[in-house]
Amino acid sequence: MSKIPAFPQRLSTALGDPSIAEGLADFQERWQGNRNRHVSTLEARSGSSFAELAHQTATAKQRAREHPEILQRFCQNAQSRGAQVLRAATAEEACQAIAQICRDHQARLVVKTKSMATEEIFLNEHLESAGISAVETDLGEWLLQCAQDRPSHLIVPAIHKRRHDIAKLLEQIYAKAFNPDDIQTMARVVRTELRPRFMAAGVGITGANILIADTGSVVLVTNEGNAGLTLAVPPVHIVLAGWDKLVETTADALQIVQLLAKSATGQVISSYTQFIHGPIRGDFDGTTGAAADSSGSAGNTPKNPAALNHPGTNTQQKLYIVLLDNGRSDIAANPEFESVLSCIRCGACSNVCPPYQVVGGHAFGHVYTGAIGLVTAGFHHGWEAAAGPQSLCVSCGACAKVCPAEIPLPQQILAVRAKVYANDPKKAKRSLRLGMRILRSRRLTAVTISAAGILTAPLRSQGTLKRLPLPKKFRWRIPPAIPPRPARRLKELKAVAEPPARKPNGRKPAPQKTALFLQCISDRLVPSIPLASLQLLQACGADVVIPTSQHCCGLPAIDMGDLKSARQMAGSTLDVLEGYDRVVTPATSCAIAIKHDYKQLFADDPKQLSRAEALAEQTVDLVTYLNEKLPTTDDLTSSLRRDSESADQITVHPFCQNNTDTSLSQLLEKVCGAKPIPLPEGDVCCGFGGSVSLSNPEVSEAILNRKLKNAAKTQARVLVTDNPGCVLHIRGGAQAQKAPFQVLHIAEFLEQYLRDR
Amino acid sequence: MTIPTADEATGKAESKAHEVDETVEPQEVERFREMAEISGAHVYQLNSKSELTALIKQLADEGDVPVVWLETAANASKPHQLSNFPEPTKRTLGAVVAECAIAETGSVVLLETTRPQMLHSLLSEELLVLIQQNAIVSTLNDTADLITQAADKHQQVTFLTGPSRTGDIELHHVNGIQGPYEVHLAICDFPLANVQNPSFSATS
Ligand code: SF4
Repeated sequence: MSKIPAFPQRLSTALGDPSIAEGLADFQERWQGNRNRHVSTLEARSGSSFAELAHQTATAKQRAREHPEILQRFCQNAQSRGAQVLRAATAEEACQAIAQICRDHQARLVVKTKSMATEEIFLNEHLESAGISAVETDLGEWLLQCAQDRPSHLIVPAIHKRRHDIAKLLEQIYAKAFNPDDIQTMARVVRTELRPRFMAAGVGITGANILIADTGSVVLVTNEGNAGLTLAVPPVHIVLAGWDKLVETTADALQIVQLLAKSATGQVISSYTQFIHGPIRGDFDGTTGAAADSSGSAGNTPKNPAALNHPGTNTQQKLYIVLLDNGRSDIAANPEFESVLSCIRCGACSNVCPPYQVVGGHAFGHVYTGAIGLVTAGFHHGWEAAAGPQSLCVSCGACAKVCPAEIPLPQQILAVRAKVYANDPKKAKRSLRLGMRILRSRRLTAVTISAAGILTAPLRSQGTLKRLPLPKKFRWRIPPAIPPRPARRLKELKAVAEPPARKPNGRKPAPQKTALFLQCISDRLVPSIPLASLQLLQACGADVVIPTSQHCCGLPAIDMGDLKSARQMAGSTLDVLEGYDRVVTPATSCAIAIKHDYKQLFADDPKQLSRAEALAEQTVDLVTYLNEKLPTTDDLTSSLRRDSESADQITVHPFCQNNTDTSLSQLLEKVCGAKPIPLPEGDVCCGFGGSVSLSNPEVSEAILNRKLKNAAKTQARVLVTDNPGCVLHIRGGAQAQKAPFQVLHIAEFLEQYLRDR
Repeated sequence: MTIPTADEATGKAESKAHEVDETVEPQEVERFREMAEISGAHVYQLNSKSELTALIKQLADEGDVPVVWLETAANASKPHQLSNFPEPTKRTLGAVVAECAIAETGSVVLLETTRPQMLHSLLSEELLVLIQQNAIVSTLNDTADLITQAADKHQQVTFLTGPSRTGDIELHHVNGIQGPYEVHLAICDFPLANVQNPSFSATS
C-alpha cells in the first residue's frame, strides 16, 4: 500500500511551499466568480434555488442508497448489455480483481483516466507490484505520475505545481528546455506522448461519475478527451466505481451533470459527458497492442501497424464494472455520516475552504482532499489517517454553503473530531486539554484569568500585552491586556445581576425579563462588549438581567471534539438561561451553538433535548435583536443616526458561520443612514476558528493576513464585526501590523455613537 | 482531395431531427449559439445547402485539409482508422451530424455505437458538427428520454461541448489535449437529409 507521509510532515512541507497558496488563491478567485455566475443563471432558468437543486441531488442519491433493489437493477441491466459486474468489499479485493482481469487479457500496460477511486485503493502501486504498468492519461495526473507525486485537489490534481515546476519536470523527461510561459506547448506534450500508449495498452481503466440503474449505464464527465480514448481504444475497459455513484434514472443523472461542472471548475458543463451503455463494438481483433501484447511489448507501439487496419469486424470490447465498497457500507449504516455518500466529487468544498487555501490538499485531506476528505478518510483508511487533517478545519461552514449535494460537512467534520478525540483524548494538544479542564469550571476559569491578569499587569500597554514575549509563531497577533475586573464585576452589570436561586430549579421563570449572556471571552477579556450590549438593550427598553452563575456555553469543547465536557457545560447553561423571555448575546458564535449545536449534543437525551429546543427559541444574537427592535424604537434610531459620510468609513466582517445573513450591514445602514463599504471576500472566515489559531497558528495567520489585506483595500476607518472571538483575532492581527483601521465589535461601535452624541 | 458537396453531406446525414417536428424558439437558438461560443466552439447559422458547401470548403482550406465523414470512417481505411492513430498532429477535418443540441449548455449530442464512430469525433484535429436547427432542445433534462431510449441501440451517447481542453497547468486554458483543437457547429435551417445513414443502419 502507498506510503503517504505522516500528517505533521505533510503539514510542514505544505507550509514551506509558497506555490501552494499562490496557485490556490488564483484558482479560488477565478472559480468563485464563474461558479456564482453559472449557478445564478441556472437558478433563474430552472426557477429553483441552489439549495433546492442541491436537495434534489441529495434526494436522488439517497433514494438509490435506501433501496438495494436499485443497485441490483443496475447490475442486471449492465450485465444484460454485456458488461461483467464485480463487487469488491475492500481495497485489496478491488486491486486483486483488476490485476486478475489484466492478467486474463495478457495486458502488461494499462492506460488510466483520473479516478479518485483508484487513488483510494492505491491501484497503481498494486498493479506495479503485479508487473503491470499503469499510465495516467489526464494531463495533471500524468505530470504528477512523472514527478512521483500525488493529487492535491479532486478536480485540478496538480494545482500545487506552478508553471516553472512543470517546465523543469518536462525538461528532465525530454532532455530539452521548455518555456514556462508557453503553457500550450507544455500541455500538448501529452497529445504526442500518450497516443502510442493508448495504442499499446491492453486495458483502459476509468472511474465513473455516475452509475444509472435504469439503463445499466456508466457516466463519465471529462474535459481533455483522454477518457474517450481510454475507453474506446484498448480491447478491455475496466470501470472502478464506488457503489455510492448510483442513481436510479437518467433524469437523476442529468440533475448531477447540471451541477457538477459549475461546482467543480466553474464551467457550464465539461467538454465531454459520456453515457456508456455497454461494451462498444468495433474492430477489436488484432487492432491494438492488447491481443499482441502477449509478446510482452508493454509500453511499445505495436510492431506491425498494418495489422491494425481491419475495419468493421463486429467484435465486442470487454467491459468490466468493479463496484467498490471499502468502508461505504459502514458510512451508510451510520446516520450521522450517511449523507456524505451523496457526494458528487466536485471539489467545491475545497475551493471555498480557507485552511485548504493555505496548505493545499496534501495536508488538508488524506487521499480525498478538502472537507469531503476530512469526513471520509477514517472510513476508508482508518481513524489514524483522519486525526491530523481534521484539526485544520476552522468550522466556518463555507463548504456546506456551496455543496451541490446538501451534505452537512461542518457537522460531520466536528463528528469526526469527536470520534478522534474519543479514540484518544491525548492526541489533542496538551495545552488545549489543560485549557479545557480550566474552562469546564467557572471558578477555576475566574481564578486562572485573574492570576494571569496580575502576572501580566506589568506588561500592559495601551490595552494590550504587546510586550509579552511570545514564541515566534504566535507573534502575528498581539494579545489583549487582561482587564483588572471582568465585565460581571462592573457596577452597571452588578446593578442588574441576578444570583441563582438557592434550591436547584427554584428560580421562578421571569417571562418579561431579558437575560444578557455575556460570553466567556468578552466577559473576561473585553468587558467593553458586554457593557455596551447592556446599554443598547436597555436603550431598546428591555428589562435586562445578568444571571450571575452563567459561564461558557461549551462551544470551545464542541470545537475540540470533547463532547463530554461540551454536554456538561451546555447543561449548566440550560440551567442558568432557561425561563427568560429572551436570551441575548453579543457573541453570534454562542447564539449559533445554543440554537443549533445543543440539539445535536442532546439528540439522545429527550429531556435535555426539549429544554435545548425551548432555549433555542428564546435565544438571539445582539445584531438580530437590535434589527428587530430598531424600526420600532424611533428614539434610538434617531439618537443613533449619523450623517451618511460616516458609513463611508466603515466596513464589516460578519461572523462567517452566519454569512448568508446581511443583518450586520443592515443594522449599520439603519444607524448610519448609508451602506458600509463592502469588504472583499467579506463572507470568508478570519482564521480564528475556535482553537485553530492556537493549535495551527501558521494556518490561522495566513487566513488572517488575507482578511487584513482585504480590509486595508476598503480604506475604511473602522472594521465592525459581530463576534468577540473575531474581534480579538482581527484586532490582535491589525495591531501587530499597525493596520490603519480600528477593529470594533458592533456593540462597542454603537455605544461609542451613543456616547459621542 | 475532393471536398464533399453539401448534397453529399446532407445525403450522408441521417434524418436526425426525426423525432423533433415542432419548430424551435428563436431565443433557444440564440441561447445555444451563446453557450456554445462560451465553450470555445465556432458557431455558424446556415440557410441553404450551398452555404454549407461553402463553409466546408472554407474549413478545409480549399481542399488542402482532408475532410472525413463519419460514415466513411466506419467502413473504409480512411483517417481515424487506428492505423493513423499514432499521428496526432496530422490535420484533418472530421464531420458528423448531431442527434440534437442543448441550448442551456451549448452541447451537441452524438450517438455512437462503434469504435470508429467514437474515435472520429475525438481524433479529428478539427470537427464540424451539423445540427438540424429544430433539433435544438432547451435544457439538459429534455434529453433524458432520448438517452434512455438510445441505451438499447447505441453503446455511447456523448454530450460534446466545445473543443477538448485542459486547465491543469495554472488553470490556463489550452485546447486540443487529446481531442479536437477546434469545434465548428453549423446550425442548419434546411432539411439535412431523409436518407438513412449507412453506418447507423449497419450497426443498429
Ligand atoms: S462534499 Fe459536496 S462540495 Fe465537497 S466534493 Fe462532495 S459534493 Fe462537492
